[in-house]
Amino acid sequence: MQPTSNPGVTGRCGACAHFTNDPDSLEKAFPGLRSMGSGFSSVRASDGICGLWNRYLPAWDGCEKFHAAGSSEAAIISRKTLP
Amino acid sequence: MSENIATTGTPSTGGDATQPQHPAWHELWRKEDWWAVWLGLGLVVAGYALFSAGSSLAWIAVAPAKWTTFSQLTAQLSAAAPRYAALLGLFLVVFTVAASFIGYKAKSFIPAFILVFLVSVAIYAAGSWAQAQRYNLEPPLVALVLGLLVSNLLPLPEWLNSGLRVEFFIKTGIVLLGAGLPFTLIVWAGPVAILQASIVSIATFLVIYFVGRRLGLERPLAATLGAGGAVCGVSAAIAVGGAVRAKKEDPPIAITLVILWAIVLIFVLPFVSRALLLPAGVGGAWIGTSEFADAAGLAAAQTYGGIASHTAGISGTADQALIPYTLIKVVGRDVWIGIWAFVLAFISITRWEVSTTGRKANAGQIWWRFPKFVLGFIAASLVITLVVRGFTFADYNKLVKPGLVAPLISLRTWAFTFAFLSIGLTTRLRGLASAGRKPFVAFTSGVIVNVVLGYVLSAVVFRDYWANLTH
Repeated sequence: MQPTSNPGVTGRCGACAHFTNDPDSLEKAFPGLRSMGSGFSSVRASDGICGLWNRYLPAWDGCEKFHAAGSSEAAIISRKTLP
Repeated sequence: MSENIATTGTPSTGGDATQPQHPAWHELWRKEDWWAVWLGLGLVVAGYALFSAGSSLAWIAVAPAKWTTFSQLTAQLSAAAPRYAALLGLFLVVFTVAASFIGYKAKSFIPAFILVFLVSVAIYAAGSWAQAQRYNLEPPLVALVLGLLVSNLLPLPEWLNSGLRVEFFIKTGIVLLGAGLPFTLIVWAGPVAILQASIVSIATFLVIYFVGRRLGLERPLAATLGAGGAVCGVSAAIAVGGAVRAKKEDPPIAITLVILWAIVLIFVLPFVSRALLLPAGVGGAWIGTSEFADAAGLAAAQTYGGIASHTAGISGTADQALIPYTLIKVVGRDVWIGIWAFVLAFISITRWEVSTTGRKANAGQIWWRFPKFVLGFIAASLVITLVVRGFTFADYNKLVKPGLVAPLISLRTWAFTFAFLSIGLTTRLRGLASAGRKPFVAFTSGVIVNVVLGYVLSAVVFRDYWANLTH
């Protein structure tokens, strides 16, 4: 199964607890990124890592496993999925 | 955990989406590309304001002069100590302000940047030694090698990382580089740069992609590797990796291969160009076509410009290497990354994952992923071109060049030196992800095609064009 924006999708990756896209975390998750690139650059847009699907994808994606960031379950998820 | 859509304001492709909490212009002070534009253009405007008032940035834009004996060096550094202190203060203030908005850790950025500045002064001074050229002590190479040795042999404290912002320094330097480039030259040479870069980019991508597929690599990894080799290195790898929904492990593989080959080519391209006695413009064009990351390419192009300017049998100056490099790399390759990402996202969604997804390729990413610092590069060129329009050539050389353009070139050289040192200090070979044999073979196939085709186009097909570009 893939992350999609099919019917049934309840939210975007950018607002999901499974999703990590803060630049510092990405620079740690992708060794060498800061050497000849940057987590803070425009080309990255708002892409991030989905800890559920183990994919690097845009914040505007979504899937049926969406979990709103900030919920009590989200706090547990975020501890598990941070790189 | 997540900066989310809030920081970029990118809208959704689907109607089910949460709305962005901040508008798109939030990006104007959150992304380092925009800060490179503000800082670079700010310095250009400040330089012009001082020039108009009969003053100049020349006092603060200090740089080591040629020296022969160590006592000469210490004497000139002592005499100019207040100017160096002021220059450090200027960079420290503007970079720290930017750092605090972008989200770098400003507290550790300050001591880290002071260290970067002091080592850069030493590197710049070493490059100004009268015998430096005899020993190939080109400042970009010295900065890179020194950084690589230190970072790979010594344990470096974590706080130092905050000051090692390669991309930020290089983008600011590229905006300043625009100030030394007539806008008409960008318009005139841009199409040729785009043509040459496109031929090589497409060929390189296809070779890496199809060799990778032949070896059994999955499509997203093959595409991520292809973009890294064909467009703009690490930046392209993460842009396309996201667009095609690569596995989390895929971008680091591409990053490792880009870094390793980029470092090899920083040394190989300038020295092979010298062996072949390529004119500075031709060498710069080849490097712009065949190097991967902007910072690595600038290190190579500036090195070759330095070599060309003092080697018998090679025509051209340092700037004559940098200008074709920048046109091909920035105008010919970097600006198209959004298009590459969109097209590959479209193919990914409609062909690779057609049975499992209903996503749309979001055309908005052509702009969202656009490297915005290029706008600053073009704007800086436009500003200076308009400023010098009313001057005769003699007055330009007598007044505008020393009073306005030369100080901006000096500031640019400092920004590049910070970047070259930072490349070395951030490239920790043991920390890179393992790439594996198949990705290595696929990527290396593309490197070979890239380098050979880049040479043929630069040194054979368009040789006269690049050799005489700025004449």
